[in-house]
Amino acid sequence: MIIADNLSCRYNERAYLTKLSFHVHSHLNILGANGTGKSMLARTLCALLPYRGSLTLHHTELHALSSNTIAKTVSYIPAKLELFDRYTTVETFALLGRYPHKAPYKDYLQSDYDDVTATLTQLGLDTLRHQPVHQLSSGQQQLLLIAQALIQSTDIMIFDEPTANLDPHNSVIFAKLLRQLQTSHTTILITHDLTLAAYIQGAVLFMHDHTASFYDRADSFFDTDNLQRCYGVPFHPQTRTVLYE
Amino acid sequence: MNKTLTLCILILLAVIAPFIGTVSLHISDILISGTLSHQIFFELRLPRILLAFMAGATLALSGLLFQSLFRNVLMTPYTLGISSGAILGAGIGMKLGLGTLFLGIGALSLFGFLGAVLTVVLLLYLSRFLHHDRSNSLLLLGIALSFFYTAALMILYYLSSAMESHTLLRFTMGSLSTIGYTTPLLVSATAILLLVVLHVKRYELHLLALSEEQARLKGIASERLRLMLLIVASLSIGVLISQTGPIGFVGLIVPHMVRTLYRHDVSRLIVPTFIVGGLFLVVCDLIARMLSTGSDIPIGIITALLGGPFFIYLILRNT
Repeated sequence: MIIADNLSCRYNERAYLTKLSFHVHSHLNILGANGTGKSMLARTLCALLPYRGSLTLHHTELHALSSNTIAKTVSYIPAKLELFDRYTTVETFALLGRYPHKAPYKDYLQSDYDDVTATLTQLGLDTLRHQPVHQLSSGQQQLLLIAQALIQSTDIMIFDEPTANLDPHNSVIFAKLLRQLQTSHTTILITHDLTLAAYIQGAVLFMHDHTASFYDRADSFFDTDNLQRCYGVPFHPQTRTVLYE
Repeated sequence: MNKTLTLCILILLAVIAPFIGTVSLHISDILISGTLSHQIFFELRLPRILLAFMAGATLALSGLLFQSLFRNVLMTPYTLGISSGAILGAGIGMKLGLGTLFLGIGALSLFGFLGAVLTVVLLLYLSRFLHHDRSNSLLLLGIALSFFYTAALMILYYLSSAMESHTLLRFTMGSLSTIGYTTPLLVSATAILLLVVLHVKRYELHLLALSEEQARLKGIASERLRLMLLIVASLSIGVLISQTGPIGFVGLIVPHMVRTLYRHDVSRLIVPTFIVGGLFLVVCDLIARMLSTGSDIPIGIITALLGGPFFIYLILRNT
């Protein structure tokens, strides 16, 4: 459960957001054109950026939470993986998802390793577990980031363009996974894939002009006229995909 | 296979190292106290090898730390200007003519230590103003500082007498000669402190090496942790350089060597880097002692002479 009231945050003079108010119970789609601050908002929600106004996770102000508590509550799955280290394997990378739950100065437990095995198998990455992460394709890296977040086992999960590099098969697997997660988690999806967002349903936050419009129900956003108004291009009335003709 | 072979050769050479030197020892006399062989073996050779091992380990570990923290393979005490800071500090100490200050610590050592530590503090302060491409900018800052220090050092040389210049030059070249165990034990203490701290914080370091964001998303107070690790590293480098002078190249080459040999992420490289770094410098020192007749060839020259070609080989083989 996330509630934002009159929230503002800024990255620099040009990139800032003001007067955001929304609430997330089970699922929120964050939509909007490029450069409207979707990822900035996601980073604010996991305390990577400072903010003003009010932002509560499970009824506690984000400011008041320790960084470890935040890491146990929110996970953020970035659009792209940046790696300096060339020798981190799929298994050790996934295992880092257990870091917030690990006792300080102690090693990982057998149950942590079991968790990793189960999740990697679930996402079809188990055959790659000893491969260096940087050798994976960008789609596989994205699956691995999702795996790490699942292993982190947080109530709130924020996905930043998770299907950007996935093939249709994996996109469908992800969409089903996200629907399944919604029953037990609070999920946030940043995407340009309107078909996916419409399939997942939930609420919609449409970002524009340094602020955002909040739609409590996806249906009111996915109205063809509203879509055309928001994005400034025509949409197919049934499929809600962009009409290229 | 490669890993085992390299380690075996290094260990073998390190074991025979104390038996080789300008004076050949009578093996049978070594354990009999009072003999010259006994004295040379226990008062000169062993302390020197202990010092070489711990110096190599400190340089290699701090290289691994800097490279992981700033995600740049060129980060070493040398490239960041910390070594030049120590040399300038030592030069100022000598020029002030303070001699031995207290507890038998010479002005050269104390000011060398201060030069190294103050450089780290200065780099940390300046890095707060960096926003874009922090690691490369920090490296450039280090290089700029190095040039500045070197120029300042030249002024000191210019103003010094021939005797002073010589003392300073010998410090600049780095040396592992030592008598007795005071220096080796001091350097061992800080080397082991660095090893323990890095080993305890290995998973945090791994997250920081992946990305700043990854670390913070997992609940790590990255700024505070980085500061703490850098303080420990600069303490051990400061102590080391104040005792041996700067020894280049180990911090650059050993972490790279260990990475290619072991193919693990940083959390599993800390102990191997410590051991390989130590053995590497013991072997370099052995070669330095075998080559020279009479006086020591400064160790820094050997590490660069040996390390340079080997490093080029590693880079070419990897790409």
